[in-house]
Amino acid sequence: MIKFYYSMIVIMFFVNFSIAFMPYLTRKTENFGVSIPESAYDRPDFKAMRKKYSVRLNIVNISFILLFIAGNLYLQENTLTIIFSSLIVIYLLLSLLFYLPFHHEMKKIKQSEKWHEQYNQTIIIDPKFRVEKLIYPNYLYVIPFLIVLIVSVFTWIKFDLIPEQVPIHTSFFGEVTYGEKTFGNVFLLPSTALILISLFVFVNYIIKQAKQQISAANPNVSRKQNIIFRRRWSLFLFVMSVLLTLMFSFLQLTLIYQTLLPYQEIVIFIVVGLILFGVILLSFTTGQGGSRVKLLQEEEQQKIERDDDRYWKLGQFYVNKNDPAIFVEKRFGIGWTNNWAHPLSWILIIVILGLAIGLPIFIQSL
Amino acid sequence: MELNWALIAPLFFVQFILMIVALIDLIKIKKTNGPKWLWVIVVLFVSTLGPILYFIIGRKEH
Repeated sequence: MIKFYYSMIVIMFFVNFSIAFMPYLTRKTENFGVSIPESAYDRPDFKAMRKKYSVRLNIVNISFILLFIAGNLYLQENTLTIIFSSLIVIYLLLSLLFYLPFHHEMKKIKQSEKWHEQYNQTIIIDPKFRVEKLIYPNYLYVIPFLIVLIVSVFTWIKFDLIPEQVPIHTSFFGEVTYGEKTFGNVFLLPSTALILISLFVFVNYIIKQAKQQISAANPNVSRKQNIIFRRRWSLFLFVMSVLLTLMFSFLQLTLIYQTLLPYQEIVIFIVVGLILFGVILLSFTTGQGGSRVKLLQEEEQQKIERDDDRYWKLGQFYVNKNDPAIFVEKRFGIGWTNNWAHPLSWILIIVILGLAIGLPIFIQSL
Repeated sequence: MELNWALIAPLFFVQFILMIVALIDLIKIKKTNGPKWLWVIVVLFVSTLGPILYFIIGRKEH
């Protein structure tokens, strides 16, 4: 029960973190999904909008957490799950409800300010951008892969030492469920580690492929920031994969050497703590596209990026037929999203959903 | 500026609803492939693909 309770709080915390602080973490060339000149980012009225949005959502978040804590005292876990799910949905809907008026207000301001007529609209493409080292190479993932391999071979050799009942699930606060000593159960952790390593390789690929976006007002700084942004997240992914692999390896070793069991919780706690702390630290120090990376400023040019707001539906969904890029930085958020006008977006989704539905049916028919 | 809602609706559905469904599933499900919080981060940071990846490789049926 207590574990369930903590994991709900962690989920709520991250949902809130990734949504309530968003206006502060975006690029400085946009405010609530509307593109603006970089010099306008610090306008007092824009600052007030960001603050309002953030304060409102944080208040909602805190009251929901209090509600949840209160519910926890009186209610059963099943009821709580339903309540918590509803709270998350309400939170997400509220975030949209708070976002939309600001988005529309920004559109109005933009129309009256006529920035895109005042400033020189420019699009900056650096042909050498892709030559730069944008990510840490995927072959580095051979390291966690080898760790998994070594641990698996070792498990194979020591197979007889493993007791008849093996833990098949450890929640991140150390709650353990046991199962029969089958091949699948014994190699559960290494195979999960492999799935996660492939996931990281894929995200690393997205980071590399994501569209080049260079601010027209500060092209040199923005270019560097963007490279730093990609490299940091890429490095973080790699470090995370190694940490998780080490954690999984340690858990795997506890199968063979039960004397290691007392250290299990502390190992999990350290790894989880480091990664969660890392995500937050990285988001705040780097910002979307590297917007929060402090570099020596250059003289700001009276230029603005080519207006592409019409391709950002509601400032959130990117639909641009003329853009060959499939992965782009989120406009209002940290992370990446896809160009919906790119056929591959739909093909990927159909294939992936097809696999998700088809595979279980296929496996059952065997 | 007018919005083409016929265009927005499916995108909204796929991107936003998928995230909600994934989060609710994460709340309800007992076990995932890999830590739950990791999937929360993937779902939140990688729009559209994150939730889909979760449903394909993250979920663990019991």
